[in-house]
Amino acid sequence: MRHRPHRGNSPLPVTASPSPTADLKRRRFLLTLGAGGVSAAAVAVAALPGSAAAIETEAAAGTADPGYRETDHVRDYYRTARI
Amino acid sequence: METVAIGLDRLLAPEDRARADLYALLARLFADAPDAALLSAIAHAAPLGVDTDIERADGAAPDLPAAWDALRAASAAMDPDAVVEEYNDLFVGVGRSEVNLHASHWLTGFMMEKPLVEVRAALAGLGLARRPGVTLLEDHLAALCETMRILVAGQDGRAPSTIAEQRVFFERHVAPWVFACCTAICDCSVANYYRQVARFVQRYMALERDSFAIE
Repeated sequence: MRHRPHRGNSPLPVTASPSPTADLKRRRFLLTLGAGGVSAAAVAVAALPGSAAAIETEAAAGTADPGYRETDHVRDYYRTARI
Repeated sequence: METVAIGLDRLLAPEDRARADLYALLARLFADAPDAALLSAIAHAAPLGVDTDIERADGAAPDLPAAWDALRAASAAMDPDAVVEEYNDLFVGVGRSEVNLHASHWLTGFMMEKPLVEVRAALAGLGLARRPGVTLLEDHLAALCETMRILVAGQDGRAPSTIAEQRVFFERHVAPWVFACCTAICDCSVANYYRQVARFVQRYMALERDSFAIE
């Protein structure tokens, strides 16, 4: 197995986008997945409820007031702090 | 109403749409047992295309279409009640489940460890977060597949991530442990349907690994 140097927690280095040749090679490599036109898994995905997602875009969270916010975590604390 | 930039709605290339759909399916299969409707949908899905002229990198996974066929067949044959029991026996345990699906467990031996912290930091850097009220940890395989899906396909108000960004997330948080986890599922005597899931996942993740390595 090819060993990649450990990057640790350093931020993503400014990696150049793959060259057009590499991109083409990659797409051909993945042709198995997309050769059928409509994704084979699309049928199964259509059966999934849209609200099941666990991860979402953090909408505007970065600009929110960093002070007190009532979150589930905070509510849990109040609930467990009752005598 | 806000307008969404037209670029965000552009269609994905077929292979990236397929990758996003597969990540979505895998996220769903690891988050919970499939119900009868999902089993039926998988059973009736089309086979993966086979192209003998495809150029392959060293160590590529050539058996993906066959593994997909096996998963479709297993989905057609599996009883919905039995798969619920199997999922619970494998992945849900009060004391100890048969196979742990969290990166922290595989990378450190313990849950809620540094790998989870690193996933959360990576998500924050990508402008993503766990949905409030969701109990799934961010380093659970289902959550990681969901994240890959978002990186590949984008989401409301979010463009797809670059291949470089997808590769970094995959190589740091998925690739180091997912293969060992799948082997453990295959080796578990309790596994039946999920043995076919794990075999497919192993081959799909190998394909992803090899495609990211193309430079």
